Amino acid sequence: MQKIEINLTVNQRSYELKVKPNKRLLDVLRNDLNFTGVKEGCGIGECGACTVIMDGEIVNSCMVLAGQARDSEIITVEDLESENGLHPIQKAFIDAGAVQCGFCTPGMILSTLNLLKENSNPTRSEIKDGLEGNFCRCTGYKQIIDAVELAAEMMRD
Amino acid sequence: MKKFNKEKRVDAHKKIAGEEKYVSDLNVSDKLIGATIRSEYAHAKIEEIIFAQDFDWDDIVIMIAADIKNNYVAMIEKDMPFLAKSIVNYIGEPIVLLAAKNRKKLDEAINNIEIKYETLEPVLTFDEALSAAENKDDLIFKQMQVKRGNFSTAVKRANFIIEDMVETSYQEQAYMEPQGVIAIPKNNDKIEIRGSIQCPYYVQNAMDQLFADTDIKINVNANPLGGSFGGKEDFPSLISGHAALLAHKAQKPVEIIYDRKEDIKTTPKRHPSRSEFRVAVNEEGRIIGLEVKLSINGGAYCTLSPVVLERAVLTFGCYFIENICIDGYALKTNTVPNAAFRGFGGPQALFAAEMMIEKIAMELNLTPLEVRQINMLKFGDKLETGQPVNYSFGLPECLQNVLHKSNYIKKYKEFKKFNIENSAEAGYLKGIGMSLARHGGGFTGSGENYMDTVAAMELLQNGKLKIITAQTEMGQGVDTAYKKIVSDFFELPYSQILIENKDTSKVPNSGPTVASRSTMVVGKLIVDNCEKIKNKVLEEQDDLSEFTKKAVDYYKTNGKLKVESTYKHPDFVKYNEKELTGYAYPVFSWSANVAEIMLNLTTYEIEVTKYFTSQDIGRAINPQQAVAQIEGGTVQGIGYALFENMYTQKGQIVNNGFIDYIIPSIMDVPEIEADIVEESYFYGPYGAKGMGELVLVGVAPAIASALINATNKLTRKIPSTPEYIFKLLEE
Ligand code: FES
Ligand code: FES
Repeated sequence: MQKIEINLTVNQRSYELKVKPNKRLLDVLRNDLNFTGVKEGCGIGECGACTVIMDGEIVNSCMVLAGQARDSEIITVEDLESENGLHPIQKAFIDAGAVQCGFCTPGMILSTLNLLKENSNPTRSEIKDGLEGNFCRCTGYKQIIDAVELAAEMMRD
Repeated sequence: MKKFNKEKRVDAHKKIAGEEKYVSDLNVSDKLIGATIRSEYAHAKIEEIIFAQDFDWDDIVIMIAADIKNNYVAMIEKDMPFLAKSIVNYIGEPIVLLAAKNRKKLDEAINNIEIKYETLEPVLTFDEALSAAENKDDLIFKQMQVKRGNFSTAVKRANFIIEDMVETSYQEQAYMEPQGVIAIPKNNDKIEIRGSIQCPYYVQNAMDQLFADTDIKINVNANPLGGSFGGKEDFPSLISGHAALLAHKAQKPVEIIYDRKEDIKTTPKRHPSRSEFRVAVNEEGRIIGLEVKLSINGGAYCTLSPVVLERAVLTFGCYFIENICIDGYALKTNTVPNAAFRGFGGPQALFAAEMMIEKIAMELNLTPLEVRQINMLKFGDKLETGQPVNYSFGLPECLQNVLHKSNYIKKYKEFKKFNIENSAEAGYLKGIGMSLARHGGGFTGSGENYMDTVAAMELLQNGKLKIITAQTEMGQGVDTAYKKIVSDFFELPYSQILIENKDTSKVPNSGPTVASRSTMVVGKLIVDNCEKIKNKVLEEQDDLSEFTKKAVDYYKTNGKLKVESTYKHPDFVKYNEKELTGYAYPVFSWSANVAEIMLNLTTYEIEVTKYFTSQDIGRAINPQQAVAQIEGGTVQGIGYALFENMYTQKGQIVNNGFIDYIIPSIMDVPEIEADIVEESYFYGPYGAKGMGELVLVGVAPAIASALINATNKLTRKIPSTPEYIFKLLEE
């Protein structure tokens, strides 16, 4: 298959790349651009470890091909911390004890980011709906739900 | 008493920033990718491996069994080869290894290999294995018996003899990060193994034996793990060997990272089990005798099955049973080898023990709580091995807490009434159930004394302290717990405390990170090391405020200070491993649990709506982490009880991934109310004992008990899937 040229904006920076159109966005981000905060847990769109935000939508980057991601704007977890320090969601995940092995954490944080953008004051059941696509085997989820509530509170203030 | 500061996890920042480096994130240049070609038959003779002649093999590194001199993975036995030579014993068994520059090359190469087999008769099911084992000893990996008193005299005194059989299925660890290692050769005579490795010294030992009689030196460097739950305890020895063999041959780094499908189909799981019990009960409901035949399916190779079995036969409930005989069998079948998983035999035995209690309640028309209360261990009682429970025994308090919080007694009756009067209209049944559970801390029996566990600590030039152990961070929070122990001891901030990499060239063998021993055993050595450093630096004074200043001075005058401590059990902890008598564990952790469920009468699905648990884990070093462990274990237990359904067809694991192996999602989380009972253990660090496994083992029996409350039928099988419940209700 011929390589194609694509343009991608990742975390506000734009990249020109030559890749095969059927390469997974996950591999482009991890291998070509070194955003290793994006994780691969299953490779078939089931676990959410590879979650990124693409043009404002949550996607599983293992299910998106480079050709489909052409000209899109991507946000990965690496974008969240700024000179002003941690993003409130990151702080909340630490404070609420929502991190154990951490493999699901980048995906959880990005799903939370989108959830709170759409709904700044979600109920616990809305939080569950928003994070349904992200598996975590360690925490039992309760402290993750707590973290989202805490983040929402911090972001509203 | 020491103060416990409230700082958060030491590794949280890296993890929320996406900066933690798991093995797949390592940037190793010029690496090759490794792949495994596997058996398609459960039992067969390999006749020929054909490498297509018209394919260009130049860039492909190939390994077959004949290339390997010491072709066994060192574990308890040496029966499992790195690559099958002439006989394959399960579907998925490795036969050929390949490495190439990229995935495309690799796939082409795989398509140019053909393996010819002559098929043999496999042993696949419990029934086949049990009947085959009757006349062929080599189909039993291990047989053991724990015994006290005399069952047949108990039978004569009994008013009731009750028997039944229950079964548990596989459970997959389903760590979010799949298995993976990378072997990096260095100057011809060194190989570094990096990877998602729970027990670096297990791998070290396996590699030392694989490369014995060569000049090759190995070191094993464990990355932070994206979860493990036992799944990366034994298995990394196999794939580390694969990567190391390929890397040595190629003289290039070789990475083997499984995708989820390969991981689910070929790596070890929780042993399926079958327990047949006969119990002699008097008219009050007291158990006076018990006979159990408990079998676990070990799969094709021995791995850790004997020790899993031993823990199972030593964990048959929290009851005093005067005449008891438990026969355990670890059986060999032509299926994927099973090995370590959080709980390690405990979940299987406790499910059987708790269903025995439920069955007695049904037969004698008592409540399950009454039968538990009549038979529950009391302070000073002796367990089946003769070990007394006369210290750190928080079970009665756990039970009281959980009954109180859940309002079990009232709801038990209410739900029964609801089910009779209202369920048809409502479309669901309600159930409330309970379980009692225990988990022995550390290795079973004398294991800990054989280990000679050593942990070290070093004082650095700037007065900082470095903790040096082989205990790996897999999400359970061991790094944080250790820093906290030292921080509390010296009243130092975390920034003054460092943790050495879990690299076998840098850390002593402090034993595997398993068996809920990291805090209880290694944590104690850390406290011992703190004592030693304090005595040197402060010369027996107690004023800690000057510690860092004095430490810097000490270093200036005396140079580097490194101390070590070696673990020994308390003196009275003695165990006879032939008879299975004495102290099987230095201490037990205990729990009481209550689950509430709703059973949908249209779909036969169960929702766990509430879960109450009270857990005696000794002193909680980090209460927030302890609660996090409880919640995580609870949810993993819910999956085990209800929907983590893995099955085989003709020896082949049918499940492919999270599509058809369903683990709990955020939608499956009930309200969880957890509390901790801190029955201090005098020999643990600040009174701590184990907890990492206790949190899971009591969950499934509590849910199964709730199902009985809902259906009035004994739950004989987990997972209790909708198909199973449908059949149960039809009975
Ligand atoms: S790796 Fe993409 S959803 Fe699991
Ligand atoms: S923290 Fe380990 S998978 Fe979520």
